[in-house]
Amino acid sequence: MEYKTKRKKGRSHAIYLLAFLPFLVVAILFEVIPLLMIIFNSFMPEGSFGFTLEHYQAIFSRPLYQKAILNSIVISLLSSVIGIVIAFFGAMAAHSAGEGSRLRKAFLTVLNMTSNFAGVPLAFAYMILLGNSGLMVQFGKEFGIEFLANYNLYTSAGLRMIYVYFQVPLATLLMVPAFQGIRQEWQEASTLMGGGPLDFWHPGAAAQHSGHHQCAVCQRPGRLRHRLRPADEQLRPAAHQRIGDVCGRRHPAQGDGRRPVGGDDGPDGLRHHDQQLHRQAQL
Amino acid sequence: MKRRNVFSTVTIILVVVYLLIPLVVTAVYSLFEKWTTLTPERFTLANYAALFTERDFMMSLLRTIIVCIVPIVLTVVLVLLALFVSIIYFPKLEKVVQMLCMLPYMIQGVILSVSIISLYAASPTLLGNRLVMLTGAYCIIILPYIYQGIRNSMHAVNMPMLLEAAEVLGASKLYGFFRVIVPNILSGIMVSSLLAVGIIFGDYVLIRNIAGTSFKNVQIYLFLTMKSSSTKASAVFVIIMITTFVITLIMLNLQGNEGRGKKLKGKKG
Repeated sequence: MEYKTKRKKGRSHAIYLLAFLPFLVVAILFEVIPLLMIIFNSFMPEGSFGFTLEHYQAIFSRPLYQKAILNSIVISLLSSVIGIVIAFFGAMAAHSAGEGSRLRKAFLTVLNMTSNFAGVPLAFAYMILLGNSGLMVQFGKEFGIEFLANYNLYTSAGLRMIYVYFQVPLATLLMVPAFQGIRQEWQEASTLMGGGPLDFWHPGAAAQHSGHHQCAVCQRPGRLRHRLRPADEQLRPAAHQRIGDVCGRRHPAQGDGRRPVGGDDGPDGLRHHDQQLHRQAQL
Repeated sequence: MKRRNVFSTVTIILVVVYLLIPLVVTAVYSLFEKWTTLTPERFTLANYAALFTERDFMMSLLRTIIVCIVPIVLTVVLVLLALFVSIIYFPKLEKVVQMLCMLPYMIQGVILSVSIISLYAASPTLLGNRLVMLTGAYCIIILPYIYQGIRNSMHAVNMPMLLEAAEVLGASKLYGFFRVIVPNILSGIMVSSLLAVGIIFGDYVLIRNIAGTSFKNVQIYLFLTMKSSSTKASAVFVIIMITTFVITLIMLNLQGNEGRGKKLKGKKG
């Protein structure tokens, strides 16, 4: 936001710097100095003054630290992957439930509320559920469900489960807007061209199993090589959509004799199809 | 289309159940004396009654509220003053304010608390006071959220135009900023303050590191109670969760109102 004033002379405004001072003092005392000190201290030898890299060497060579770093990386990667998979389906469901539906609203409210649910309370709730004498464990014993009866929360797997739990609401909330960017029309276009619901989300998934897509020229079955994009949709009439998309072979209609590039939708592949379109339009 | 809807409904219900199970189970657990078989036995409110008559718990609740309010009010005032000065008189300072405000996004609570403790713990001045350190640390942690909220709402009300209008009508810049702009962005300030309340309320790391167990907030109280009585701890848990949810609900409502206000403005303009 730019608000420019015609400054008469700097000096007359200097008094206002006093109002800036409190902010600066707090920020310097509790943010800048502590951060700088940590950085300086990390290069400082123990108990004396100087410069050293020994602390960094220690971190990367001592097994204890290595193990700790590795543990952190493993648990954050694993729990985010699992959390994101759950969040993906959650956000997809929220998307297809429709903008104004009550289910979606309720879902978003639950997500918003549970996104604050972390730390000590979360750990406690899981201990009540699955701890040594937790409810689920008791049920497992009662009904002879081995898996539940012998469940041990106090392992890395148990920890991972709690991490996954608290990633789900945040990840879903962050993914919902991304799904809103996917337009209904693209989906309809995909259906019109014979794609099942799976095709829309994962190009070729259904085709691989059924051989359901055929090249418009040679009739060979294959998989769709390109996911539909809005630009494609406007440029190409449906009938021409699949030339070269499916079988990956050279056909006379393609004209320029280049093979469609790669299996994925790289920029080259697109350009190729656009050229082809222009030719067809000229004919 | 129908099949898709069934699919999405089922997914949503599954996720909601997954998210709510720990909450609901713990809440039910706090309301009964015993729950070792399929159904809980003997409904009781004794846990809650005991909590609300216990001085220790009420004190920890009070401390949490104080430790929430003081840093938030302080941060809001500091950021407003800093933005006022930097936007109106010293535009070059804006970058500095922005950097100082966004930096704490990257700082983890553990790192900040450890470095503050090692710096000031031995200091004989006011800085050596644990509560001062704690307040300062909280101010820094919530700084990005407060700053973002205030900046965004300044943007939303079109601050330069409003200020100009106020000046044309004869108001000074100071008056214009604090009597015209600030009341207009109050709901934005409220939303970011509530977000900050949520953060401080759920904090365990900072208070544990800086103040230790001598200054108990509800999180520490929960942690200590967990070891002695699980039913009592679950009652504490429920109180914490209800408070967080109420804060979130108010926040969502305020955000909704703000959105509606913007739409109305759009129609008029």
